[in-house]
Amino acid sequence: MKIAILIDRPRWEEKRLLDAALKKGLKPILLNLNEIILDLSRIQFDDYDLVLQRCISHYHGLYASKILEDVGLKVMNKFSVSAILGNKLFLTLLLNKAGIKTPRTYIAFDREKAEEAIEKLDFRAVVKPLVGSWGRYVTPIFSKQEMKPILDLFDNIMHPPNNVYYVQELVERPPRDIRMIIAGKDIIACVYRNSKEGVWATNVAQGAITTPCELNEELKSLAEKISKTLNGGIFGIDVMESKEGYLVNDVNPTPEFKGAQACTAHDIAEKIIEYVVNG
Amino acid sequence: MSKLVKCELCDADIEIQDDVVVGELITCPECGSEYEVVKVTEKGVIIKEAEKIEEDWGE
Ligand SMILES: Nc1ncnc2c1ncn2[C@@H]1O[C@H](COP(=O)(O)OP(=O)(O)OP(=O)(O)O)[C@@H](O)[C@H]1O
Ligand SMILES: [Zn+2]
Repeated sequence: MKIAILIDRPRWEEKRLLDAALKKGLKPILLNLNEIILDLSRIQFDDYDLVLQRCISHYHGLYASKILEDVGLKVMNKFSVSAILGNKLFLTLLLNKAGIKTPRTYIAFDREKAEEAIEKLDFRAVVKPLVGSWGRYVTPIFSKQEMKPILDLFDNIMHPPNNVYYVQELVERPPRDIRMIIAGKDIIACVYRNSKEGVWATNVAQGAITTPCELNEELKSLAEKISKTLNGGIFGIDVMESKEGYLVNDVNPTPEFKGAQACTAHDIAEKIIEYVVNG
Repeated sequence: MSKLVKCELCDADIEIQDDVVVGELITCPECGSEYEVVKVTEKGVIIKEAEKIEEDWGE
């Protein structure tokens, strides 16, 4: 079986995936989007049986997935799934519809309405760009005085297609969250991401340190529900521990796992490749 | 044996792992400058200053 790992900037993770595929006796290649031209009138990609999409640019990954799927290749995760997960508005809608608890979220299209939403949340809110990751520009508001300067900053960085106010309740949580990585029905990693001293966000990209997290029935059923809703695939699920129970904050379609691997006994890349090959 | 490359900004040695691939981003351990690997040869690697992080980058 020939598998292409679609990349734009190979990270530690993509190299582990390449190693794991080689170890399985597959014929993997790293297909770098920055090194190719695609002729839309005659695309030929019969060299591979399967494409594992691992781009760090959300849009580049999406466009390439669409092109490759159109010529009949199997791309993982699917274009349609990545398109939803890469956008916080679409993702939150999907989770809510599936009955999966998320922090309360308001969408406003107008600055004044955004302020109204924040007021509804007693001026304890989080504003986020719809597209983006690693916790960049995700900004907590702890008090009324902070609202205006933060929204002013936001107005400066927002432009189409990102210029919508995504306003979320500021969840009271310990200085950590739970990251599960799933491949199909299997949970292949479950860790706490403990935020770095003095940092509010719990992203590994912002210095969080991972520690093992024991699975329980509730986490398992949450993972199962998400897997079912998305019809299988490889995802990184971020869960917050609120007073009212678990809240799903994010589902990432091209999860990084360097942090999770640091406190996981088995090889996460191998589990991903096994799933990619065997389904 | 890992390879070394000089940071263009601060002249520090940046260690390059054996499994380095073209397109990979590397960071200078001393000054934090970001570089992209443009070429991998027997002797070492060629790097260029990385572009800035785009809004849609992530996982
Ligand atoms: N509503 C909230 N209440 C409390 N903390 C939050 C809330 N939303 C986000 N955070 C914190 O901020 C971090 C980044 O937020 P979020 O995951 O939404 O952004 P992201 O850029 O998509 O990150 P990732 O790449 O992990 O998906 C979270 O890991 C969490 O620690
Ligand atoms: Zn340097």
